[in-house]
Amino acid sequence: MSSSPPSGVPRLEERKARGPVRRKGIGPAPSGWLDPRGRAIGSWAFAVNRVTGLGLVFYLYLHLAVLSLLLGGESSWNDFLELATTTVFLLLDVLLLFGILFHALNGVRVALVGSGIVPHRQKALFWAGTVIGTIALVYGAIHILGDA
Amino acid sequence: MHPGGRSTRVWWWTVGTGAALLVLLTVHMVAHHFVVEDVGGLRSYEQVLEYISTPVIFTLEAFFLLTVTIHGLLGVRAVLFDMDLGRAAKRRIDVGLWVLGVATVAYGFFLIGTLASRA
Repeated sequence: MSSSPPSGVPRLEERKARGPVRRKGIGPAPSGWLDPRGRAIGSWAFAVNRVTGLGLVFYLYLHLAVLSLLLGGESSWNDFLELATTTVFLLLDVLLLFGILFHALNGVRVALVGSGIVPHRQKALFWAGTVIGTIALVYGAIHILGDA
Repeated sequence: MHPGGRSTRVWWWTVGTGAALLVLLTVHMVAHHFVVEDVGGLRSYEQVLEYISTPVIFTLEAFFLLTVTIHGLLGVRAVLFDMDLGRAAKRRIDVGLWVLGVATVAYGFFLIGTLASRA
Protein backbone atom coordinates (compact mmCIF):
# COMPACT_ATOMS: atom_id res chain seq x y z
CA MET A 1 0.00 0.00 0.00
CA SER A 2 1.43 3.40 -0.97
CA SER A 3 2.26 5.87 1.79
CA SER A 4 1.15 8.91 -0.24
CA PRO A 5 -2.62 9.56 -0.52
CA PRO A 6 -4.36 9.78 -3.91
CA SER A 7 -4.45 13.13 -5.68
CA GLY A 8 -6.80 15.62 -4.01
CA VAL A 9 -6.89 13.80 -0.66
CA PRO A 10 -5.26 15.82 2.16
CA ARG A 11 -2.22 14.36 3.96
CA LEU A 12 -2.32 13.34 7.62
CA GLU A 13 -0.67 16.59 8.81
CA GLU A 14 -3.21 18.68 6.91
CA ARG A 15 -6.13 16.64 8.28
CA LYS A 16 -4.81 17.08 11.83
CA ALA A 17 -4.49 20.83 11.29
CA ARG A 18 -8.12 21.04 10.09
CA GLY A 19 -9.40 19.33 13.22
CA PRO A 20 -12.08 16.63 13.53
CA VAL A 21 -14.40 15.93 10.59
CA ARG A 22 -17.72 17.57 11.39
CA ARG A 23 -19.57 16.30 8.35
CA LYS A 24 -19.17 13.70 5.62
CA GLY A 25 -20.94 13.27 2.31
CA ILE A 26 -21.43 15.00 -0.99
CA GLY A 27 -23.19 18.26 -1.83
CA PRO A 28 -23.46 21.51 0.09
CA ALA A 29 -23.38 21.59 3.89
CA PRO A 30 -26.82 21.32 5.54
CA SER A 31 -26.59 24.90 6.76
CA GLY A 32 -26.21 25.99 3.11
CA TRP A 33 -29.92 25.42 2.49
CA LEU A 34 -30.55 29.18 2.51
CA ASP A 35 -28.59 29.62 -0.72
CA PRO A 36 -30.01 27.19 -3.29
CA ARG A 37 -28.55 29.02 -6.34
CA GLY A 38 -27.42 26.65 -9.04
CA ARG A 39 -29.33 23.72 -7.60
CA ALA A 40 -32.50 21.84 -8.61
CA ILE A 41 -36.00 23.17 -8.06
CA GLY A 42 -36.41 20.89 -5.03
CA SER A 43 -33.65 22.81 -3.23
CA TRP A 44 -35.43 26.09 -3.97
CA ALA A 45 -38.67 24.63 -2.66
CA PHE A 46 -36.85 23.42 0.47
CA ALA A 47 -35.33 26.88 1.08
CA VAL A 48 -38.63 28.74 0.52
CA ASN A 49 -40.41 26.15 2.68
CA ARG A 50 -38.04 26.90 5.57
CA VAL A 51 -38.20 30.69 5.11
CA THR A 52 -42.02 30.63 5.02
CA GLY A 53 -42.02 28.27 8.02
CA LEU A 54 -39.85 30.60 10.08
CA GLY A 55 -42.03 33.51 8.96
CA LEU A 56 -45.15 31.65 10.07
CA VAL A 57 -43.62 30.89 13.50
CA PHE A 58 -42.90 34.62 13.84
CA TYR A 59 -46.49 35.31 12.80
CA LEU A 60 -47.79 32.85 15.41
CA TYR A 61 -46.27 34.96 18.19
CA LEU A 62 -47.32 38.21 16.50
CA HIS A 63 -50.86 36.82 16.25
CA LEU A 64 -50.87 35.94 19.96
CA ALA A 65 -49.63 39.46 20.78
CA VAL A 66 -52.35 41.04 18.64
CA LEU A 67 -55.07 38.83 20.14
CA SER A 68 -53.83 39.87 23.59
CA LEU A 69 -55.27 43.31 22.76
CA LEU A 70 -58.68 41.71 23.31
CA LEU A 71 -57.78 41.41 27.00
CA GLY A 72 -57.65 45.23 27.07
CA GLY A 73 -61.33 45.48 26.14
CA GLU A 74 -63.33 46.80 23.22
CA SER A 75 -61.52 50.12 22.75
CA SER A 76 -58.06 48.60 22.31
CA TRP A 77 -59.49 46.04 19.85
CA ASN A 78 -61.21 48.80 17.86
CA ASP A 79 -57.89 50.69 17.67
CA PHE A 80 -56.32 47.59 16.15
CA LEU A 81 -59.21 47.12 13.70
CA GLU A 82 -58.57 50.62 12.33
CA LEU A 83 -54.94 49.68 11.63
CA ALA A 84 -55.83 46.22 10.33
CA THR A 85 -58.16 47.55 7.66
CA THR A 86 -55.54 49.77 6.00
CA THR A 87 -54.39 48.75 2.51
CA VAL A 88 -50.80 48.12 3.66
CA PHE A 89 -51.99 45.75 6.38
CA LEU A 90 -54.28 43.92 3.95
CA LEU A 91 -51.35 43.51 1.53
CA LEU A 92 -49.40 41.93 4.39
CA ASP A 93 -52.37 39.56 4.83
CA VAL A 94 -51.97 38.53 1.19
CA LEU A 95 -48.24 37.91 1.83
CA LEU A 96 -49.22 35.80 4.85
CA LEU A 97 -51.66 33.84 2.69
CA PHE A 98 -48.85 33.17 0.19
CA GLY A 99 -46.64 31.88 3.04
CA ILE A 100 -49.39 29.60 4.34
CA LEU A 101 -50.27 28.23 0.90
CA PHE A 102 -46.68 27.59 -0.15
CA HIS A 103 -45.73 25.96 3.15
CA ALA A 104 -48.88 23.83 3.24
CA LEU A 105 -48.80 22.64 -0.38
CA ASN A 106 -45.04 22.03 -0.37
CA GLY A 107 -45.47 20.22 2.96
CA VAL A 108 -48.02 17.90 1.35
CA ARG A 109 -45.51 17.22 -1.46
CA VAL A 110 -42.68 16.49 1.00
CA ALA A 111 -44.92 14.22 3.11
CA LEU A 112 -46.15 12.26 0.08
CA VAL A 113 -42.63 11.81 -1.31
CA GLY A 114 -40.87 11.27 2.03
CA SER A 115 -43.39 8.74 3.34
CA GLY A 116 -43.04 6.67 0.18
CA ILE A 117 -46.65 7.13 -0.95
CA VAL A 118 -45.60 8.93 -4.17
CA PRO A 119 -41.80 8.67 -4.13
CA HIS A 120 -41.10 9.48 -7.81
CA ARG A 121 -43.44 12.37 -8.54
CA GLN A 122 -41.62 15.29 -6.89
CA LYS A 123 -41.74 17.63 -9.87
CA ALA A 124 -45.31 16.80 -10.85
CA LEU A 125 -46.46 17.40 -7.27
CA PHE A 126 -44.51 20.68 -7.15
CA TRP A 127 -46.20 22.03 -10.28
CA ALA A 128 -49.62 20.75 -9.19
CA GLY A 129 -49.14 22.59 -5.89
CA THR A 130 -48.03 25.71 -7.75
CA VAL A 131 -51.21 25.73 -9.86
CA ILE A 132 -53.51 25.06 -6.87
CA GLY A 133 -51.66 27.60 -4.73
CA THR A 134 -51.79 30.31 -7.39
CA ILE A 135 -55.55 29.87 -7.86
CA ALA A 136 -56.12 29.92 -4.08
CA LEU A 137 -53.86 32.96 -3.67
CA VAL A 138 -55.65 34.94 -6.38
CA TYR A 139 -59.06 34.03 -4.89
CA GLY A 140 -57.88 34.94 -1.38
CA ALA A 141 -56.27 38.20 -2.50
CA ILE A 142 -59.46 39.29 -4.27
CA HIS A 143 -61.45 38.41 -1.15
CA ILE A 144 -59.07 40.25 1.21
CA LEU A 145 -58.49 43.32 -0.96
CA GLY A 146 -61.96 43.37 -2.53
CA ASP A 147 -63.29 46.31 -0.53
CA ALA A 148 -59.97 48.04 0.17
CA MET B 1 -32.30 8.91 9.32
CA HIS B 2 -32.58 5.50 10.97
CA PRO B 3 -35.98 3.77 10.77
CA GLY B 4 -37.54 3.94 14.23
CA GLY B 5 -34.87 6.41 15.43
CA ARG B 6 -35.46 9.80 16.98
CA SER B 7 -35.11 11.67 13.69
CA THR B 8 -37.77 9.46 12.16
CA ARG B 9 -40.13 10.03 15.05
CA VAL B 10 -39.62 13.82 14.83
CA TRP B 11 -40.25 13.68 11.07
CA TRP B 12 -43.51 11.79 11.57
CA TRP B 13 -44.60 14.22 14.31
CA THR B 14 -43.93 17.08 11.89
CA VAL B 15 -45.90 15.37 9.12
CA GLY B 16 -48.74 14.36 11.47
CA THR B 17 -49.17 17.82 12.98
CA GLY B 18 -48.84 19.30 9.47
CA ALA B 19 -51.67 17.08 8.21
CA ALA B 20 -53.83 18.05 11.20
CA LEU B 21 -53.05 21.71 10.50
CA LEU B 22 -54.35 21.42 6.95
CA VAL B 23 -57.79 20.71 8.43
CA LEU B 24 -57.57 22.99 11.48
CA LEU B 25 -56.14 25.96 9.57
CA THR B 26 -58.79 25.64 6.86
CA VAL B 27 -61.52 25.63 9.52
CA HIS B 28 -59.85 28.57 11.31
CA MET B 29 -59.46 30.65 8.14
CA VAL B 30 -62.95 29.98 6.80
CA ALA B 31 -64.84 30.20 10.11
CA HIS B 32 -62.85 33.09 11.53
CA HIS B 33 -62.06 35.23 8.49
CA PHE B 34 -63.62 34.24 5.19
CA VAL B 35 -67.26 34.13 6.34
CA VAL B 36 -66.96 37.59 7.91
CA GLU B 37 -68.15 40.24 5.50
CA ASP B 38 -66.16 43.17 6.94
CA VAL B 39 -62.98 44.35 5.21
CA GLY B 40 -60.08 42.00 5.94
CA GLY B 41 -62.42 39.45 7.51
CA LEU B 42 -62.08 40.67 11.07
CA ARG B 43 -64.68 40.40 13.82
CA SER B 44 -65.81 43.07 16.25
CA TYR B 45 -64.99 42.64 19.94
CA GLU B 46 -68.42 41.20 20.74
CA GLN B 47 -68.29 38.89 17.72
CA VAL B 48 -64.91 37.50 18.82
CA LEU B 49 -66.21 36.74 22.32
CA GLU B 50 -69.33 35.11 20.91
CA TYR B 51 -67.22 33.06 18.46
CA ILE B 52 -64.64 31.80 20.96
CA SER B 53 -67.26 30.92 23.61
CA THR B 54 -68.88 28.34 21.31
CA PRO B 55 -67.72 24.97 22.75
CA VAL B 56 -66.90 23.40 19.37
CA ILE B 57 -64.94 26.48 18.22
CA PHE B 58 -63.17 26.75 21.59
CA THR B 59 -62.06 23.11 21.35
CA LEU B 60 -60.95 23.50 17.73
CA GLU B 61 -58.98 26.70 18.46
CA ALA B 62 -57.31 25.10 21.51
CA PHE B 63 -56.31 22.05 19.45
CA PHE B 64 -55.19 24.35 16.63
CA LEU B 65 -52.91 26.28 19.01
CA LEU B 66 -51.41 23.07 20.41
CA THR B 67 -50.84 21.59 16.95
CA VAL B 68 -49.40 24.73 15.37
CA THR B 69 -47.03 25.23 18.31
CA ILE B 70 -45.67 21.68 18.07
CA HIS B 71 -45.34 21.88 14.28
CA GLY B 72 -43.72 25.32 14.33
CA LEU B 73 -41.20 24.59 17.06
CA LEU B 74 -40.25 21.25 15.46
CA GLY B 75 -39.52 23.27 12.31
CA VAL B 76 -37.36 25.73 14.26
CA ARG B 77 -35.58 22.74 15.82
CA ALA B 78 -34.83 21.29 12.39
CA VAL B 79 -33.35 24.59 11.18
CA LEU B 80 -31.22 24.99 14.32
CA PHE B 81 -30.04 21.36 14.24
CA ASP B 82 -28.76 21.91 10.69
CA MET B 83 -26.10 24.30 12.00
CA ASP B 84 -23.46 21.69 12.87
CA LEU B 85 -24.01 21.96 16.63
CA GLY B 86 -22.58 19.71 19.31
CA ARG B 87 -24.63 17.33 21.43
CA ALA B 88 -24.77 19.69 24.43
CA ALA B 89 -26.02 22.58 22.30
CA LYS B 90 -28.70 20.38 20.76
CA ARG B 91 -29.77 19.30 24.24
CA ARG B 92 -30.06 22.95 25.32
CA ILE B 93 -32.12 23.74 22.22
CA ASP B 94 -34.46 20.83 22.97
CA VAL B 95 -34.98 22.04 26.54
CA GLY B 96 -35.42 25.67 25.42
CA LEU B 97 -37.99 24.74 22.78
CA TRP B 98 -39.91 22.58 25.26
CA VAL B 99 -40.08 25.50 27.70
CA LEU B 100 -41.11 27.90 24.93
CA GLY B 101 -43.73 25.48 23.64
CA VAL B 102 -45.30 24.86 27.05
CA ALA B 103 -45.31 28.61 27.79
CA THR B 104 -46.90 29.35 24.40
CA VAL B 105 -49.69 26.81 24.81
CA ALA B 106 -50.29 27.82 28.44
CA TYR B 107 -50.58 31.51 27.51
CA GLY B 108 -52.79 30.72 24.51
CA PHE B 109 -55.14 28.62 26.65
CA PHE B 110 -55.25 31.41 29.24
CA LEU B 111 -56.07 33.90 26.47
CA ILE B 112 -58.92 32.00 24.83
CA GLY B 113 -60.21 30.83 28.24
CA THR B 114 -60.36 34.41 29.52
CA LEU B 115 -62.08 35.65 26.37
CA ALA B 116 -64.60 32.79 26.38
CA SER B 117 -65.48 33.55 30.00
CA ARG B 118 -66.32 37.17 29.08
CA ALA B 119 -69.03 36.22 26.57
